[in-house]
Amino acid sequence: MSNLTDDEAQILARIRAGDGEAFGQLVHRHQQMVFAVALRMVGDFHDAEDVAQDVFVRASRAIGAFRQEAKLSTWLVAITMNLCRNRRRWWSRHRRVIAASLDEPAGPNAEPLGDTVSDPSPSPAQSAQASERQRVVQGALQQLEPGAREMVVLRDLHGYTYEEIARMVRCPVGTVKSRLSRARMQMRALLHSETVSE
Amino acid sequence: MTSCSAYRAWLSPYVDGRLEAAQRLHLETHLTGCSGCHEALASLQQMLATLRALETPAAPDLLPGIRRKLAAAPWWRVVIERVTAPWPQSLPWHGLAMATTALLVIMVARNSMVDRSFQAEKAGRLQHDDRGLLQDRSSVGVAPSAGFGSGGARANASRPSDDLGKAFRSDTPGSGEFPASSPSLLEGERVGVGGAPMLERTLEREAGLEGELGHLAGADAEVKPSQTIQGNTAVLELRWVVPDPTATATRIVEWIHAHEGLVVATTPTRLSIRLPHAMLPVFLQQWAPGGSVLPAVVEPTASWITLSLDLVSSQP
Repeated sequence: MSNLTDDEAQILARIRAGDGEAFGQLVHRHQQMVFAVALRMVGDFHDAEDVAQDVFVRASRAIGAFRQEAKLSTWLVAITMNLCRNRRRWWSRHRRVIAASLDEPAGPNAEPLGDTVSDPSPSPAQSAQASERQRVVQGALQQLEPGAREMVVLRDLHGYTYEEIARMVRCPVGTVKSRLSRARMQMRALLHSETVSE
Repeated sequence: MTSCSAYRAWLSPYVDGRLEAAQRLHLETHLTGCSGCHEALASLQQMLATLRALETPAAPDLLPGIRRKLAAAPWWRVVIERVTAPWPQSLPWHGLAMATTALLVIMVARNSMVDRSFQAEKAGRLQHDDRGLLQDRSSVGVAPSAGFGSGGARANASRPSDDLGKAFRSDTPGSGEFPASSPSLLEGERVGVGGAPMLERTLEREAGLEGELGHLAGADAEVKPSQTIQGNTAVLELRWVVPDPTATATRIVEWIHAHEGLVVATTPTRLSIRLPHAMLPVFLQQWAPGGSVLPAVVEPTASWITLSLDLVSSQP
């Protein structure tokens, strides 16, 4: 049974037939979501961009094996989580400390990441507030251990169901439930301590 | 009675609507009367609201970078992608893979058939002689010597257990050679010549020898009258019945180590022991059930003895 919309099914068929333009459409449709997940997981703009590109490179190679049992977006996010884990393992072997820095100019226009918001016309106060919120949340996320971070990012930031999360991270639904519960408690404690210290 | 910490563990699935009905009722009842848990719930809901309202940073245009990475793929990856690509892109590559696989299968089958026909031919040449020993009729055409009796003492013509032979086989140069004048050689046996595979000689016991071998003073001894020669090492298979095989094996191992022999326990009660020839009487006097000493039945030219010792329990 296919979980794809008609439009997605059509794009998929065209990609499998070698249609490069269809692949471009796929990228444009899903790059925001893939990039956002990657950014929350790795905490660095350029790393997230690199991961997101790798997601689509891998997807293009594995598109023939995609069985359409899950939504296309779910499949892409699962690839994203895998690549984030691989990257984390690679960096831990090479002893790099991943530090989230929303204050450093890292975006394409050399703006601090905290200022890169999707709201087209925020007031200065709102922008500042949003930046600060981004900084605090991202900082707290990076302090969570990776398994807990996955839960918060997928459930609380991107709204995936327990079942979808279980499929993406390849664990039982019960494990998702307990991990998410613990992750939220830790997140609450981190955000509370950040608020208190300000 | 459920504690507040247990109730607070339910708050996360509760806000997601994933709590079981009975637990939900229980929690809601508790929340009405516990301000601490009520505050914890409110705090959790506020945090979730903050997270869900978080703006998502705008993604850069990923397509140029993706195309660059796809174009930079190494040749082997291109091949893999072509082979695993969906039909019909992969057709020529699948054809190539199938042809290669078919060729390999044919080669393996052919080699297997050649090997089988060789084995069959060899089996056809090998026949049992009057004493039940295998002889290669393609090279041996002489009947066994009449000097050897058969009786009930049938020497074990087969190689001892592989681990034994391989572990303790002598690799002394020229050990495969035996003097042609040795009276123990069966006529027609081939003698290895420098570098040739090790020759196994089978010694036949003279009439009555089985009695000596098999009958030791002491009620529980049992010796399998089996011996082969490999190079300058005699290989002797023994089977002793003892009250406690495992404990006996352990003590024997300790004794062997103390006397600079070599021992390998293939099982807790089966030992493979290598000793200098001169130590054999001492070993047997120390350990053989009943304390008896075997007569010098071992080939005198052997400088080493390999014992395959099997200890069995006398307990029912």
